[in-house]
Amino acid sequence: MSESTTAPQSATPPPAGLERFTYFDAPVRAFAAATVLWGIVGMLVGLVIASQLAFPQLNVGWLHFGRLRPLHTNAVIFAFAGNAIFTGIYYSMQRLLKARVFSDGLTWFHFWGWQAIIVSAALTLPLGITSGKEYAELEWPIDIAIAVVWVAFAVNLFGTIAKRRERHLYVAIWFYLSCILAVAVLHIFNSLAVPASWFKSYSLYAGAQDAFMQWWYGHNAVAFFLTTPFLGLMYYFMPKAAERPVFSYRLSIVHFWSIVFLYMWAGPHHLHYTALPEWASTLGMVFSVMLWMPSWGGMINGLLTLRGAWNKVSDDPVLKFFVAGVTFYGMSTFEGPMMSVKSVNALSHYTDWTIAHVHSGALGWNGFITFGMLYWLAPRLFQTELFSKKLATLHFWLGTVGLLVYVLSMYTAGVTQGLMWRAFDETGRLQYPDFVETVTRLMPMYYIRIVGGTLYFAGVVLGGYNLLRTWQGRPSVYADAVAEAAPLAKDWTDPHPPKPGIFEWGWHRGWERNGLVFSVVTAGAVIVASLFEIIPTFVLDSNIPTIAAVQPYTPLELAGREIYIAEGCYNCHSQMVRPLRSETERYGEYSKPGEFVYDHPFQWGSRRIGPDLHRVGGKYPDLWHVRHMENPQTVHAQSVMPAFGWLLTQDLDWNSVQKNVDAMAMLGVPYGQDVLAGKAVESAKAQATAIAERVHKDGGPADLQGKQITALVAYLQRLGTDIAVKSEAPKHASAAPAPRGTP
Amino acid sequence: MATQNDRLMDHDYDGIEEYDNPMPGWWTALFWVTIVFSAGYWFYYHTMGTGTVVADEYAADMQELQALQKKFALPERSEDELKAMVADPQVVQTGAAKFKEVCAACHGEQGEGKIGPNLTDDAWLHGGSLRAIYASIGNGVPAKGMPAWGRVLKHSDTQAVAAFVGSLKGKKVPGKAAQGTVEP
Repeated sequence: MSESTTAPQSATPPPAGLERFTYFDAPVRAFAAATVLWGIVGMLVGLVIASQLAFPQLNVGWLHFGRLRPLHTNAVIFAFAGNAIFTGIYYSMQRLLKARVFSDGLTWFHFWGWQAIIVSAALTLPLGITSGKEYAELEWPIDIAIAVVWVAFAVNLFGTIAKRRERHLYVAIWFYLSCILAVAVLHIFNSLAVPASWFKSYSLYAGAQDAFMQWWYGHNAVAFFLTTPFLGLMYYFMPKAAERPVFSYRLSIVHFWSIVFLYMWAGPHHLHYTALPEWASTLGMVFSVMLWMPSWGGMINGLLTLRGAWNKVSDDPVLKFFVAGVTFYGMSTFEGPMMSVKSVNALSHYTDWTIAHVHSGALGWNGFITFGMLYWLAPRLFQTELFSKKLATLHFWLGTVGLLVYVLSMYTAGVTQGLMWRAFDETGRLQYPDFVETVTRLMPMYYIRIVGGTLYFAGVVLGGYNLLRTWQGRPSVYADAVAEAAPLAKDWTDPHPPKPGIFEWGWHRGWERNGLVFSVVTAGAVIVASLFEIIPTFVLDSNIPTIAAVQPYTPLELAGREIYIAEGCYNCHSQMVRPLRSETERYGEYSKPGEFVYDHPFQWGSRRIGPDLHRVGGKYPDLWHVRHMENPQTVHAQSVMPAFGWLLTQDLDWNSVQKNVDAMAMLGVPYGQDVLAGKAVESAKAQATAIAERVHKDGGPADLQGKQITALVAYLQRLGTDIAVKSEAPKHASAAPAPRGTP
Repeated sequence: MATQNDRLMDHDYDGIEEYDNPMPGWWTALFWVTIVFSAGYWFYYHTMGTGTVVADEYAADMQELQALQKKFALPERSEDELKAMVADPQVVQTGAAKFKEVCAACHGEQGEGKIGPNLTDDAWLHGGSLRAIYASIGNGVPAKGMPAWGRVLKHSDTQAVAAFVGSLKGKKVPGKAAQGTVEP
């Protein structure tokens, strides 16, 4: 071709038997740019909220930690990692399948649709429009949009598989398939809800069942959004960059299928010692332990692929990122099973240990694989040299040092707080009865965390600059990425038939030739594993013993609950007292599954920056809550909680009260006739007046009956009180022992 | 351990080749170990019911703790003993410092009342004798949102705070209006 550079490529016919086609790389460039942009945004918000914890005065108005933290998690997971996945998948699947993407239009629809979803998330979350389920906060219209865009993505991948010119599906494609299938199932079933308005919906599930579904989703979003697609990217980009063969085909088969079969069971390890039935918790633990080696299979296959190429690592920033990324993957996937062991979890749960763990995963594994991939792709996508290899190497070191500083400070903070919570003195009393003490002690670690986060963020900004400059050096018109391949012949016989025997994997080669079979088996693995836990959780009454004293929230309490959710209180406060003596001493009787049957959604939380609130009802006078919400430091000088002063001045939205009650009634919450049929507002106003009078009589501000604060006080004072009426007797006598049961 | 032969498979994908290496022996072995452990764990705790489940473990823990707490329970004090403490400036001073730390947020720096009642007037909601004050501080008034400080503070501090509050009696610091029954 060298002598005919001016002639259009189509002028030369392809060699006999081959078809000539082009790869569609324009959307790959767009996804790559979006990855960098949202990465910077998401991590900047992370820095902001880390600073708000260290310097509480940075919580300005409603731009406080509770509303911004979901923005950070959603931006990093779905915007940054999401766009990174799409970048890598659209680039590699076309090449691995020897075919242009199925539909150009669908690809652009996928790109713009996903960005629109991100923008709507960035607008709604700080406004307090949230479903209140961690990592699935987006409200129902956005959830539907996600499902639609995801279907476009799926059609594109399946369509490309259908028109492929490569007979077998490479391991990267298996991982992409598992991502598409599992995420669809998880997203749809966790997000099922009854809308009360355009911006408000109630989870179809309540309490322990909702918690189970949420962590089935949450854990497997980690698995099938942050793990399997990234393993797929690793299997494509790492051997490409190292120019070495993959270490072991057999290992890739075994670790792929074991990951797909085992992950779905592991979700309940997020709910150890909670009101989730114990058998589910045990399943969550043992399946997590079994996931250790399957996960490490991915790490081994990555690292051992570099045999013979280690000399390149010292020179090539791309490989440096990959090696560090895979190593962080190995560390996180050892740590995960360890933290899922119940006794370890009793210490680590609700602490910054979890925060350290997820950041070693997100910044180390997802972040480094993404940046390695982007640096490898940049010269190819922009058809020029990388602007600066030196800057890329500097980015790597900033990232690595920053991440180590981050995780080490958070491990220290986590273990410190966990140990302080459970410390008793020799007279049998809590060593640190004042919760705030266990938070202020962490402040030095929170300062150090900001340093680590800033270093990592500086690296990302540098990377953005490097890629921007690379893009500026692009040709005026991109050359088409042209490829040639033979179409798949109908009558094909294996020229090297595999030896018979299960462990010769000939049967698996057969599956790899048939995208449909492969997809069906993958989907089957995911669904069947899910049903093994879902069915007993929903069907067996013994899992959630009914407590007669537990009644639905009053309309005003429900309105207060909406405020609690909108302000993101669950980001700092749990509502789940575990059956551990250090918890019942501090908070009161441990939480029972039957207490949450009207909690759509559950609000058990996952991190305690403030104390647990499940037994806060009746603990303080109404006036205490009013003063505390207005300015927490007036009742507790060391408190790090943001002030919510506007709750005392802004009017409660009475219009939504009835709608919310009606939506709950639709979910089967037994509201009597006195609050249905338009009478909810009446009831709410009566309760609000009583609270406002009490507050005023106690010396508090007058005329709060129409304000948001009365609803929130009503909700807080109700929390955990339903069973208190009955257990006048010994304070710590546990109610009937939780049923020891197997499904 | 199976040997690594580094034999290339007869396929490549966009130039990526794969070796036909076996899985590392230690990897396979550890995988089996975790599977056997998991089956054993389930069998021990859920099938045979031999392991201690969470509720039982908690109950045993609490029994131990309550025995300890009973041993170190807040000591009884007679009206006279408490009177002697009110008369001791050092005890009252200790109590004043502790009061500022934990009580002032609700009762005011001088006991004039804020969220909680004024402690410097003659009216008492839960009894105005020194014994009653000591009991209110030590056991709290859960229904009204007063915590049981006897479970939090050192015994000597609980007594000192009671002595300090006793010393406030009749000071009539302007603040929250009187609540409760007047006791001379």
